[in-house]
Amino acid sequence: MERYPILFGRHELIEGNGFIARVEVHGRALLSNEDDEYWAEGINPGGFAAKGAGPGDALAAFCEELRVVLFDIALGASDFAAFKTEVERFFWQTNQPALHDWEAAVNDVRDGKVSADWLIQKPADSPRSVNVVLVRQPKAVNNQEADGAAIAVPPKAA
Amino acid sequence: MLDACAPGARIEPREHRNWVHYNGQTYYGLPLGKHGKSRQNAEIQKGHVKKMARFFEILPCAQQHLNL
Repeated sequence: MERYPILFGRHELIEGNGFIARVEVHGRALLSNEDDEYWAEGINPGGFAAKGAGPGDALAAFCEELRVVLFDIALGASDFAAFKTEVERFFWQTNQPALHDWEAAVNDVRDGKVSADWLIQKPADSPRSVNVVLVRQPKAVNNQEADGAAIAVPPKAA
Repeated sequence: MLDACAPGARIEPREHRNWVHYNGQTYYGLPLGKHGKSRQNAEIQKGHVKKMARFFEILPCAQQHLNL
């Protein structure tokens, strides 16, 4: 099966009930081809997936799906603290079956079975994180380009 | 399928997606279906159901009940 271990970064500005939050995510996803469709499954955050006709389409849909999940979390959160708690729960809920395949896909990259020269490379052990920040005073300098998607490659031995 | 493979699972319709709670975990991304929240048991693309079943580690059971 064609599959790619993906590392991604996203910055989203989300309006909630009485607050604005910036959500900064550095996560993992598994991109695979199944039944002539490409699927991107969240690992951290887990619990959602998206598909597309091609790998780029699937990753774009995945990013949009992430925003939609955050919208639903915001709608159900009475305040910023509740929003932050649920976003962190969402992020750290690991998709274990997809993680198993992701780790196998990293080995496929190491063994040369997978190449994705259309993606930049990052070490598979790159830190994962979620940062939910209350925006008290919007400032233009806070606008940052997210990292986008990268393929996870085996970390260099120390 | 959920009754058989994930007893106690609970579907919580949200504005944009269904949330499915089972075994202490939540699947946040189950589409509402072709007709949104206005219809019970709305048709949902099987690929999404398959991803959810895989997430909850009930895929072999789900495949016995649905053509996934």
